[in-house]
Amino acid sequence: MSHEITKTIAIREIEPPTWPERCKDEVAAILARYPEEREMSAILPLLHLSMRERDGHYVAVSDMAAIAEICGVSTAYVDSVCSFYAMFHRHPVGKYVITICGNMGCHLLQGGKALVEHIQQTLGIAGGETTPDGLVTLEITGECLAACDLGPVIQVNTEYVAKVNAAKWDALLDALKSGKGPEGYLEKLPLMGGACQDDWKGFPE
Amino acid sequence: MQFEPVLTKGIGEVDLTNIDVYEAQGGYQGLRKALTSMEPLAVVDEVKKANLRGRGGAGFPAGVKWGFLPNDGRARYLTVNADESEPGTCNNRTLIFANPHQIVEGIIIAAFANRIAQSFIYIRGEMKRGAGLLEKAVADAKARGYVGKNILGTGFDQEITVHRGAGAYICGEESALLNSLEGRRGEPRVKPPFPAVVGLYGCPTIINNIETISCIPHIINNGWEWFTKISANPENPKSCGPKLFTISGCVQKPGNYELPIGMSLREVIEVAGGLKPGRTFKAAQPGGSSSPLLGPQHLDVRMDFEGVAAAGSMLGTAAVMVYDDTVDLVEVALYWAKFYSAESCGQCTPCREGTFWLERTFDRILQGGGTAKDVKIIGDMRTQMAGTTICVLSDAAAFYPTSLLKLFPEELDRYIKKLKEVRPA
Amino acid sequence: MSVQMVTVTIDGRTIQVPKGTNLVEAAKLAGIEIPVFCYHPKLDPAGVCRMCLVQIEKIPKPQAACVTNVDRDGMVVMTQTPAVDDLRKGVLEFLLLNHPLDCPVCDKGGECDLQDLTIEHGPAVSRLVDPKIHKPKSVELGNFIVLDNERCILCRRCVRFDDEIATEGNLIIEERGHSNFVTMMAGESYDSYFSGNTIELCPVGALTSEQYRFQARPWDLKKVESVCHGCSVGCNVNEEFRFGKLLRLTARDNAAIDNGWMCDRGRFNYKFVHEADRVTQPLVKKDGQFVPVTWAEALATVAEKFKAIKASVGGKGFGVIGGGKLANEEAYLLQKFARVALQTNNVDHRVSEQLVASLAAFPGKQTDISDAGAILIVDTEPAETAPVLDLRIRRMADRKKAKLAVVGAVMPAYRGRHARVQVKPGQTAGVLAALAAVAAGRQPAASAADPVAVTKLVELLKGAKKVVILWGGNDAATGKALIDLASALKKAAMQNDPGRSVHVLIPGAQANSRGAEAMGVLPNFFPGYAPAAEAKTRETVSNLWGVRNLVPEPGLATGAMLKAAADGEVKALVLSGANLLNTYPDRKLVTEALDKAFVVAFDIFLNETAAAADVVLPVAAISEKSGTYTTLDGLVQAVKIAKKPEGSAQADGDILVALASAMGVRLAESPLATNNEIGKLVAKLDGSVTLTGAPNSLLPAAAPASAVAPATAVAGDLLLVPVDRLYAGGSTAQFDVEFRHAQPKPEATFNPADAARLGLKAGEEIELAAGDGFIRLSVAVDKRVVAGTVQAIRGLSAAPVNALMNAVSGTAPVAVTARKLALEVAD
Ligand SMILES: Cc1cc2nc3c(=O)[nH]c(=O)nc-3n(C[C@H](O)[C@H](O)[C@H](O)COP(=O)(O)O)c2cc1C
Ligand code: SF4
Ligand code: FES
Repeated sequence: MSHEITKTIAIREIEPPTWPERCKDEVAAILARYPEEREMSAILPLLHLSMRERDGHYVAVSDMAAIAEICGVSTAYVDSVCSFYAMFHRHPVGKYVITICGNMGCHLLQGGKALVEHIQQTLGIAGGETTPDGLVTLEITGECLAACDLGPVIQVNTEYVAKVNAAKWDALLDALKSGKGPEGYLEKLPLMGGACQDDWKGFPE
Repeated sequence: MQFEPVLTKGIGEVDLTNIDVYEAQGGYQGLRKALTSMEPLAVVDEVKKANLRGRGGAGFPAGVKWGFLPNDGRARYLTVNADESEPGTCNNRTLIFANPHQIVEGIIIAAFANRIAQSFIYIRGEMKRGAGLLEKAVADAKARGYVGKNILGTGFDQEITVHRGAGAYICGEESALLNSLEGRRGEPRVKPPFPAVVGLYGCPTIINNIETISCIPHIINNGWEWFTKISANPENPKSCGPKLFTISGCVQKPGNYELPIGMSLREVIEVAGGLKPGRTFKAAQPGGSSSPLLGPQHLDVRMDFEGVAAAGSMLGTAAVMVYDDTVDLVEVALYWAKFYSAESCGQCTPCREGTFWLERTFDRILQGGGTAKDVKIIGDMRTQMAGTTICVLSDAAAFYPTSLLKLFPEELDRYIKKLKEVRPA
Repeated sequence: MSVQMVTVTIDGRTIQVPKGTNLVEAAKLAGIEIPVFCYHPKLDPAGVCRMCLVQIEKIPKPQAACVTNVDRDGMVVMTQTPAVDDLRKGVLEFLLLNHPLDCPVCDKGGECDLQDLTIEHGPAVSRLVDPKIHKPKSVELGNFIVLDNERCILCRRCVRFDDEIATEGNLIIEERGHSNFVTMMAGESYDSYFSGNTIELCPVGALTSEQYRFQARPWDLKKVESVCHGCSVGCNVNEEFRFGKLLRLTARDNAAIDNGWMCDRGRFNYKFVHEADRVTQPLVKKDGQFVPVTWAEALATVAEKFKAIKASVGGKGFGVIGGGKLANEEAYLLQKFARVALQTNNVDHRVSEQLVASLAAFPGKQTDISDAGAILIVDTEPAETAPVLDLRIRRMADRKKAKLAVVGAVMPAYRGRHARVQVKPGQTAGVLAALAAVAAGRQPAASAADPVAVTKLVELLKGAKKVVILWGGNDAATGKALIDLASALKKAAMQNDPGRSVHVLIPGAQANSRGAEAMGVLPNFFPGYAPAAEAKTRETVSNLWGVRNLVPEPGLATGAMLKAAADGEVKALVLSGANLLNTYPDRKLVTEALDKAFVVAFDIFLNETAAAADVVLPVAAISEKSGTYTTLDGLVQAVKIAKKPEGSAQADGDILVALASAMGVRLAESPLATNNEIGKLVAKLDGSVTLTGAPNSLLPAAAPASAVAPATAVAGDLLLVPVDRLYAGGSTAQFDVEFRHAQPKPEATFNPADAARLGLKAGEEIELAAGDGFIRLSVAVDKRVVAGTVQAIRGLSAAPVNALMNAVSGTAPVAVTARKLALEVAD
């Protein structure tokens, strides 16, 4: 286990981002959610927004500068905040960010270990990497995704896919590759008592 | 005792995210009752008498917490903790995704009781859809006049803002949550002052867990006495009410179960289908990764705040993780060590360095490089890490390893004395 | 408000402390030291290192002393139990876990808290057997600072300083957990004016000085108490020497002045004292070339010349300029030299646009800022001219403790919202006149400011119990309007609440401008601001000095002297540390004057002005002589000799006495006699006295504010706004090879609209021209520049902005043209 800590250098973009103008109303609505002179509270929401709006879904230095201006802080301050949170990418990611729960429940007790290996093999990349076609960025998180009843669980762009096994993953990956999208595989509703999502028929009419 | 689900009634059967369905099931009646027929202080009193203990981990009585708010003319805030990140815990997720209106209703009542005009729900970033569902619930409730200005013509105003985190366990700690909500790094604050006195934006602030808040409409609807009677262990009046248990690990039917507080650990395991055939019980963590281990001698421990505490652990989030004889508890230790080392905010020396050291140590032990010195180091973490820091993440990180040493010394011994084949590198 | 006292018992000692005192400070009062790393009395307590854990009766867990306040009676604290020892050992073990333990090559060795506390409380050996975490080492964090992330213990003192004290928020923690590290934003450099303070704050060797690295061990350094000579704030410092060589400067806390902080100009611009380029021998120009000569020869040459001039045209043939860098005593001797030896009142310390350095009518202390209710900043950027004083303003703004208002063409930046009235050059006086009128309840004349803004601003000022006004002191009309405003506010305040007050602070153009002013280095005032025109003044002074023939008529001010020199009426100029080609707002006039007159320059460097002199006399730098200096708020501070002057340089005062003597005039019996004279005419300069400021009459008559025509530029032209930059200006910066890299590049800064209209791009080289003066600069664009103006930095020898200025018209706005450079076509 090597522990080399180097600076993750955020990417500088020459051009200022266009979202402050394009999403003006949304930005105003975000600011309006917090009391007056508490614009700083909008930093996290705006980081989410800027990441959504940028091709590659990451936060560039120019986004941070724009947020700093809106929220009345220094750009460095936004960077410091940004780097604290695992979900803010400071480098481009794939179309789908697949997050595998690497916490004990899923990984050790529910077969997650084998699943991680299978997923890495089928994608040909390791955790933290993006497929060359830019389709998938793979993240193996040590955080518990709060779905221990559905393990092993993964998230596709923050949507849960429950009880994943090799076959289910292969089918999901096919759907992603073919452009169909993950919709058919996403968890619909958390159920009680460990009831299996895949067998749930929906609400009675 | 016959137990009817309270908080999860209808989940899976009807679509409670639909406000009509929620209302048809009796939703927003608690709000009507509180706002139109009760004084704010009477609501606080009701919650106090119901002895509603916080469901977020510490079990602090909600009504008492509310009573700490100073009356000094500053704005007050209510912040609902939906950061749910304690490993093993997923009960809040069910309440958020499947029954969001119950949360909205609980917030309005709690805000009314404490004369609060603005509330925030801090939801972990990974639950983006949950945030959307909560936002929709707030908007629908607003359309019905339950949120916004002059609710039900009572003159009471309430705005609810859903605020997403972005991937940091520590933001579940209440003061870290406030910092995060203020647009800062999610680093816990030094206490005192406590949030009730100096909280969000420097103002008096109440922080309650999603499940705590979800209980409130029912307490108002059914009265405090009803709530105190919900218990599987009537001998202990200090813990009561319905509780969502996340039962996971080596059980046949892992899942979320709503149970009366106070069942024995054995019964709880049975609820989740019991152990897999042929397996024997080795250990359990009763309240998430932060709770010390319980062993076979604890199977009859009552799963309430006092019972679990008396056994040397804590009910925490009631995330019961069950380990049978196939589980290597040292391997579990490495997962927890890694988790805490990655999630420590890094302010406090003992936590930043101690979590790192534990991770290194367990990693090496699992690879066969452990020595007797490591056992001493792990043991020392109880005094070096626990109780020495700003928040209790550091304590939490030290609990599992030290309880492992205490209850299962042989598990480590097998590695140290090289009795066990080591984990492939 | 009386402070409530509470009782606390620490290790059995019961003491009384003010309620709310934290336990580290309370223990200090009880004579007990609690070890700390992150705690620093000047910063908000953070409670992160956990070194200060103590036991408190009735509290089960150990508590961090630095964040535990004594807020009730009867707290019982234990700091020396076995349990506390174990906790300290534990924290030290953690801190050393990933520490590189490279003490032998670490600058901090010997003054390192980690080293010291480990010896006192630490574990003997490390129990870590795994590899340590590796982090970036030897990072050049900024102009002057090197960072070693591996040595860093993440106490965050530096980050907190940058946030709480400098209020810049550029030094940050990135990542989290054990990946935490101190850094700047990617690609940025830590070039805060206050960066050096972090070196002293750092309890380990993580932040070190680029200049002092590997130079010495702290125990080998000889510390001499001194006062910074960089500006008129007068920060208290230690000069630290090894083998007579000045190796570093550190702060010496004085709550009335610096609060323990220094700026980087003061801290890092010191190596010039040893610079090879210093003038170390008298130089006399022969056939256009400087020739080193003996002191005797130099003095004889000058004395002969002066005697001849005196014989032919009398005292009006002389002009003496400068003195704002001298010690009070030397400044006194300078004016005495002019008045007695040269028989002239042509003596003036003012070398730039600044007209006054104080106003007696509204005396103020630097500390007044720190409890002000409102702060008004007029035509000045305190960060550039009085940086450590600006820290006080920044704090008031950041903590929203005072209302802040800024009026002028330059808008200094502060955190948070504040009132701003941005005008074009020349319009400030009108705005202040309007404010004064409203404050006095009169109808204001139209000004460049919106009437609503004027009313609001007056309300803001009137709402405050204490108002502090900071002003650049540059323009007579502005000064008159400012006096009216301050008077009106004071009057209004007095009616409502006699406890209210109004204070004016003027950062001096030179470090001792205020001292020189008080010592009478002025054409119309004798020492102590005694009017030269009054017979009584002359009588008192003649008696004291034992001379009879003091010149009755007031002398010429700097501009008039230069004009007279250019016209051949003033035959000789004595320049004391006055680099007029760099500072005086009319470079052409200075050039002409220097060409015509016989010029004797007292200087430490052969700067552009000294180079044009006929005789250059090498003078001692500040730590090479003793004397007292006056801060911008009038406090007199003493400085003692700390090193020998380089070469044969001499203290200015000694040179003046010797020169007078060579002319047959006895200037001073002894330093003591001089001090006695000053004591009689001004005040006894005993190190704690505060000098009175200048009378309003020091401001020259100016056209009434209302009559100042609103500034307009001819089509296409822009009004010039010369701006101050801390690292520009002054030979000390220019000749210091280890400092000058930090000097700003010559830039012309335009408003984006003007840049677009003129088709100018950032970085492009252009010329700014006015009359027949022009300078070459590169374009910068900043929306804080007022449209219709262009900002250029004062004091840069490479692009002297005074080449565009024409001081005879005073400080009236100058219109300049921006010219694109014709492309040089290579063939
Ligand atoms: C490291 C740490 C993580 C925590 N995470 C959560 C969490 O995810 N959700 C939660 O409700 N409480 C969490 N807590 C507990 C909160 O600090 C707080 O006690 C709780 O939100 C109060 O609500 P309650 O009184 O309703 O339980 C955490 C505490 C710590 C120390
Ligand atoms: S104990 Fe750990 S997580 Fe908590 S504040 Fe300290 S460093 Fe941060
Ligand atoms: S000195 Fe108190 S925690 Fe650092």
